[in-house]
Amino acid sequence: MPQDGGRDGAERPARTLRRILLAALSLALLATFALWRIDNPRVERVRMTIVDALHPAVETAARPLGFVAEMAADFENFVNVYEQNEELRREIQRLAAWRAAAQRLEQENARLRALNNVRLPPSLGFVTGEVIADSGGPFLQTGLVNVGWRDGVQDGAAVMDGAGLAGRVVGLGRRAARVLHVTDYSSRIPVLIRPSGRRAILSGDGARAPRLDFLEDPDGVRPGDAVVTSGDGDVFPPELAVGAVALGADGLPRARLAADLERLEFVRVIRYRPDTAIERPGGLVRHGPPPPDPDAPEAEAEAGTEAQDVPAEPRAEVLR
Amino acid sequence: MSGAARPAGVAGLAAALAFPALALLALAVQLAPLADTPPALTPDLFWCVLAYFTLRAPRATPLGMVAVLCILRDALLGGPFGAGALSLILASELLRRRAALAPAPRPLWSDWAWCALGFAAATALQWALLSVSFARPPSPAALAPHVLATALALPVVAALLRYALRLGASPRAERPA
Repeated sequence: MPQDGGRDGAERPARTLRRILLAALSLALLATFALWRIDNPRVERVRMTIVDALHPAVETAARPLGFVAEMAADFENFVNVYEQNEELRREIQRLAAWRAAAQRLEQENARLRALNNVRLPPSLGFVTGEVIADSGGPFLQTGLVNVGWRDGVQDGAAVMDGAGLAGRVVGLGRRAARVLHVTDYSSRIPVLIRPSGRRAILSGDGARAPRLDFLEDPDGVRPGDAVVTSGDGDVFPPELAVGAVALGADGLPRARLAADLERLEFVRVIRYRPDTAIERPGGLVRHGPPPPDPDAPEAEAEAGTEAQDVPAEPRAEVLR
Repeated sequence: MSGAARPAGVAGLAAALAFPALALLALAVQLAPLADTPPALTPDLFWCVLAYFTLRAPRATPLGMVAVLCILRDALLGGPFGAGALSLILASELLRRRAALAPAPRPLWSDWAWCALGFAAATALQWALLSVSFARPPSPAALAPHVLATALALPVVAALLRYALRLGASPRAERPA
């Protein structure tokens, strides 16, 4: 008993210290969570710094696991080759119809462009990255890609796979970026329904087909209509393919995504500079503060150097 | 018990070195972009490793190391930053208390039940924190498969660590003096 009492006496301060540490840690983590919720950029920067530091290790670890997953997928494909063949034949029939529609739209597009030559074309390019990590949890549906700000990626940039919109960049590191999938609970993207031209908000709710909220006149929208980004808010470029309208099991209009989020391997991160609009005199050719009074003698001296301060726009591949 | 085959100090050192390595490995597996696996059906292997070591080798899981690993997990997995780490740390402390209060031998099913309940509580805490901060968390029905998948993965991970890697104490063994 005395020994037990002695041990208890020695353990008590350690236990108290541990409790204090636990309380302090809990408060610090709660504060971090609160900062993250109010979109404090420092929290996301800290997170992306950690991701940047561990990015090579994550990529190295993901490679053998990805290889195993690919082998399993190949085996599954081999087993299902007959069904896939049938599916491909049906897909060819569907695509033939789409080809005719695309040719018609291309002609219409060319006519509209000819009428619309008073605005400068938006700068639209992309950089291709490899998906190196999944979110691995149910709370946020995100992924990590191995391109960051050194590759010209910007926060909020649209991310596409070969077929359609997959998400947007929500965290940016030097060599990596976090992509929030369009199916995530917090994803909201303004979209346009073609051919009716009705607007809606693509709202992720965890399901494979996100909801189409705030849809103008749902009766004028039919399943199979194309869903594209509207470009409202100047975050995403307009007319990026999203998917097609479908009626969900809950009776709500949803968008069947063109992108295959479960098999994302390589993605395009769009580098977009919104269309230049002429909002005020001189706004087209001059950025920054309004021009100084030319009568002032100091202004003349400064005007000669200002042109050199305008950063050169990086060359970007044109998105086809 | 590993302590019978090896000196207790060596076993403890092996567990102390193995815990961070295996926790990081579990994170890497969770992060790997595996096709056709919905996130809701992916078990939280990190929690499986953390829970196993907290119950069977508590000395290998000091609070500081658990905190660092949990913050790394939050940063890499992209979940609610801070809330994920907080909930897992509190759940692991619950298991640590359980290990201290109920020394071995313990029934296996009770360890499994405590680990599963701990994870369910951690998930519920994250959900509650997101809800009170006006975020839109997934519905509880959408989270249930994740909790279930983790609960089912727990015995598999425990068996692998105990019988393949010989890490952690047997629940049937007496507590070392």
